[in-house]
Amino acid sequence: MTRQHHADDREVRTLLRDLPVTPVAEPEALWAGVRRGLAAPAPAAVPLHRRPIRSPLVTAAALLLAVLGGGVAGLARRYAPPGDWMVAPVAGAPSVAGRPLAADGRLATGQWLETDARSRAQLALGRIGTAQIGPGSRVRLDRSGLTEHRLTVERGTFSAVVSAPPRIFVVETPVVRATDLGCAYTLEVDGTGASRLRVVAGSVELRRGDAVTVVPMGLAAEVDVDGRPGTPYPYDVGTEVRAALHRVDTGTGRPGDVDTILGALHASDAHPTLRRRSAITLWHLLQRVDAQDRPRVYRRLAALYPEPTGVTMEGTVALDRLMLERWRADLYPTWSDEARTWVGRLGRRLVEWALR
Amino acid sequence: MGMPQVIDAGADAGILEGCRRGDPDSQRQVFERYRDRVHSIALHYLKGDGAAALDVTQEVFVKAFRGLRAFRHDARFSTWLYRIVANACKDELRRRRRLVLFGDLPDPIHPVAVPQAAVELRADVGDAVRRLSPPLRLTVLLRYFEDLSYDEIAEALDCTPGTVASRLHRAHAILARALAPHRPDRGGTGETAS
Repeated sequence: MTRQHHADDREVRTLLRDLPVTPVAEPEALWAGVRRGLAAPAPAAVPLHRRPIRSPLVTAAALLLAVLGGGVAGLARRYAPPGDWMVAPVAGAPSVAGRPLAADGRLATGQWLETDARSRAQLALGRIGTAQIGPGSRVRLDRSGLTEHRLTVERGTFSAVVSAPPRIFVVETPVVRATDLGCAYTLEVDGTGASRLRVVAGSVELRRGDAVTVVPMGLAAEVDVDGRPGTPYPYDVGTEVRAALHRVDTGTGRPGDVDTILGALHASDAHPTLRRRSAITLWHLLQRVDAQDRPRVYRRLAALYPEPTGVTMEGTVALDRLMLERWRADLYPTWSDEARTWVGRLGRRLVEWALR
Repeated sequence: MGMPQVIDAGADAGILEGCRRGDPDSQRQVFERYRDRVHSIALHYLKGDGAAALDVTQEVFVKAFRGLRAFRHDARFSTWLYRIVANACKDELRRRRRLVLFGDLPDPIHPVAVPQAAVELRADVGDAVRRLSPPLRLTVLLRYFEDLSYDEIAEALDCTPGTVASRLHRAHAILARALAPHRPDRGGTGETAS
């Protein structure tokens, strides 16, 4: 105790000195009550030194912990991958580790799954999804962990449907890393390693070094051997447009390429979802075209999608980072959109797990 | 505030052994030594509700005599008994809180009459103690009414000595504010200064 504490202690002791000891008015009656209590049958033993947990708050907290613990255990059980992933032939004669693939085959970490020009296979992605392996593919399992499932697709076609929290499933190609953000997608890798991504649901992050592009549903993107992830584009555009985009992305644009691209994107009276996809293309394009082309790209962008608050054409075409970020935040599906999706999915899975 | 004649586990081993066997005479001796202290703590803790204090006192002795086999001689008998008092008081408070939905115990409709001779200070001190939160109130009563050490209070309340110190520190501050008029350095009469 500190000196102050001692002083307080003395003072309070002095003050409480006069608290009355109140004698029991009728001690014989109380003693009779004690004797009666002792004669009565003893209640179920409750340890004197341990209080039973009876507080509603403690009980509620314990229940919440039990539910959360059960949920975590269920999720861990749901997503914890097996060491080897199941793989089965769909057509032709795929192989694993150089040996013909049996109907109940397994792909272990470090092993290659290969398909020739006439074969295809189906691969279970741990417990979080499935993938179709197209002809002429070479795929290796790199890691099968609770927090990361990683594959390498050296070449071929890889179509995945994943049902897991974002960033658990990762695919490496020779030129880019594709990180699942909750989706279904197809990745095509040619013999040089150049990759093309087409997102069917959700979105995928493409990363090469510091260059990152997020490709949402309905868009595709390409990554050249030497380049950064390309501008995402609606995947129903023609090859001419894709070629023009590729030239702009690689700094080899020709006169007329911007017009070709703008002409292929959705019109301002298209469905809002389609306009949003085209606007995402324009947002990327704006940052890659020459300065003299930016105003018309911007005008098209502003015609497709309402300008975010605090954004001007002058600032945006000058590539003001804050204004570009405001555009990006408006155009891309928000975190809350994705969170709602995932909370809903997780909730359903918890219910399904509990009902099992 | 005179100290009661307490049971010494060594000198009064025969009494405790008799209680363990269920000997009414030994139990009566323990009852006689502690009944008024237990009753007073319960009365202060329960804000002067005399009927509830009597119930708690009876419950304490029944539990004590039934549970005496669990008493280990590594603690004073009084400390062990005060733990039962503390738990019984808290149980009573919980029972009453269920009725008043999270409110503190209301003042009794028919409080025990304060002796006419009680001075204003005594009433103020009693009120100040009653206004403390239940954990602080019990800690203060065991410390200053029963003169238990920090370790003994910790043992009785099933908490750490640090918690006891913390509660007393907070109680000191609250009591100091409530009783400031009676302190000589605050313009009080100084009649309480030792």
